[in-house]
Amino acid sequence: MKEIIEESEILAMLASEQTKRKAFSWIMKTYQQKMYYHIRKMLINHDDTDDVLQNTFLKAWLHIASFRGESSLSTWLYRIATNETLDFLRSKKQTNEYVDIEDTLALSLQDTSYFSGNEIELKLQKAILLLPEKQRLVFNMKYFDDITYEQMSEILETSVGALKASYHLATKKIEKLILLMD
Amino acid sequence: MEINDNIRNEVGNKVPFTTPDNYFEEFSAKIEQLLDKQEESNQVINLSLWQRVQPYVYLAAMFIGLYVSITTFVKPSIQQKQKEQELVELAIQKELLLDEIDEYALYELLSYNN
Repeated sequence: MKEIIEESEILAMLASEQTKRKAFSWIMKTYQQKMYYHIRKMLINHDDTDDVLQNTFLKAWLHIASFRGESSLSTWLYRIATNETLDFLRSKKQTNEYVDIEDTLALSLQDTSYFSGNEIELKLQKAILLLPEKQRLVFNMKYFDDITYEQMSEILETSVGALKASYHLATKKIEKLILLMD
Repeated sequence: MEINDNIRNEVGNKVPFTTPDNYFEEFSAKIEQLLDKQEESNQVINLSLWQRVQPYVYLAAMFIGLYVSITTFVKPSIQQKQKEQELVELAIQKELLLDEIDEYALYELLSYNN
């Protein structure tokens, strides 16, 4: 499977019923880690991330016929994963009306069995959790994944200018928050 | 950008989350299994034409049966009742007519005829 690199080849494979599953397996193996960490940075908890990642790939498979290659595979998957993550957070907020989800996530940061960061990394994660949802997404995508504003604009359907402003604001807030935590 | 650089220099941009051992290998396998199951259930759903129209045929047969039983058993008894009702009404009308005839006039009529 490693020999397949070109997206055009994948598109051709997706077009045929015989090779569709093989192409999807390749997509899954290639992008699962990227998508996992994209979701995990928003949800913190591993089990929740696992559920959302599963939904992301099942949805991708369901709509694979509609993927025509207008955007890159990565952009398309990021968009599905982002929507699934935001939907998950929305439903969690609806079921826990009186609980601040971000506070719960911040608390679970220390409890989570799969957190490998040091003290300063913990502070950064806590500061990120204090940002509004969209700003959090923008910050994570730029800071950790180094996604270009153009790609981010396609994923989040927001203008490049607005994304730049959002990232700038987020970094300012985070710096202040980290200082306050010291 | 310098603010971003301050954080980056101090904290770095390593994602501080880990996963259980072999998580990604197991995840792919799990999704593959789910897709296999989905494909199997899709095959089960691929019914023949007869299997697809069967419920509608049964429904149509049921309505035909219902229509036949109504026309055979229920309709005649309704007609019978209607006839009986008409006879009763006729009898009542006759009775009323006889009541209305003056007895003296009747006697006169009978004697005139004789």
